Amino acid sequence: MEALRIESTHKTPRVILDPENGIFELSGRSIPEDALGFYKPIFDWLDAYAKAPLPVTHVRFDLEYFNTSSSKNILEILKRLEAIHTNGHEVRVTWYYDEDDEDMEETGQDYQALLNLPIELSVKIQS
Amino acid sequence: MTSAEAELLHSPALRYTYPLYRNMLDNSVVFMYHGPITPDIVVDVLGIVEDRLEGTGEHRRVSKKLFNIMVESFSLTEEEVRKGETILMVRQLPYLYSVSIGRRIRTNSVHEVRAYLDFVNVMTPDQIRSEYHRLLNSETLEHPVAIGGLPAISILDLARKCNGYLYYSFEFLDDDYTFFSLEASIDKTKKQ
Repeated sequence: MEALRIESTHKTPRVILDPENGIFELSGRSIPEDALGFYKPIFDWLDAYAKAPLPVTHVRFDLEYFNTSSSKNILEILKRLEAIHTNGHEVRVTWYYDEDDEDMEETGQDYQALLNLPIELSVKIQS
Repeated sequence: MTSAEAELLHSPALRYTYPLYRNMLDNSVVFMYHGPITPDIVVDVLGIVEDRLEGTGEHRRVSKKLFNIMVESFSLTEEEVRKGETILMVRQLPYLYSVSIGRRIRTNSVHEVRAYLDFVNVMTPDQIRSEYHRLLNSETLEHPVAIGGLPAISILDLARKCNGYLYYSFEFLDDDYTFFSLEASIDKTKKQ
């Protein structure tokens, strides 16, 4: 399946969904003008991927900040991953957060509470 | 005299510069923005505030929290983005930072907005979290729940992030519009 790559901008995250190389990642900021417009191609890609996913899909979220309209779209991504997981294909999510960013940690906990999906919260190593 | 000269004579900025400076100083305003708010402007504003905080040696936990509150405050302006009737203010006091956002709302929605804020302000942190989860999980992407034109989930998110009371005020403008202000603050000294 062809990879989906979206380069980051100062207001939208970098997206890499690359099954061939086993990289699934969203990183950066997310305050797009049209959140649904930005995330729709990701939903479509995941819907197609769900038909023949890898045995294990490891998705990394490494976000700097985002608004609530993005958080709803991220939940939609996670729901799609949850469906893949429920259908017997392992999905692991790592939610990275800065150790000083308790809101980002709390958001990861929100997703843990809302979904039946293994979400590991992990403190970002400062470079 | 040209029209521009007449305009300047009628309203010289020098008359207002010092009072504005004094007002900002007296009220500990470290940043103020008036105008349209787009995602590009949000990024610029965050950059300016980040630069200001860097010089103060502020703890990253506090500056992260302030950033997150600012990002969400901007979500309350989406309806007004194109109209430019928005003001954002950041105050830095000895023990707290506060972010205030002001915008016009429809006068006939004042009662609904006030009732919702009063409802949120008496909730416990757990109740806010639970209501936030409910909205996050039940809203459709196309049709988020709005309270008088304001996204309800943004109000809840701000209440969570500041872990306290959301102060608000309404200034009646006319039958159509009322100016709405909301202030969210964070305590610099304690873990939220």
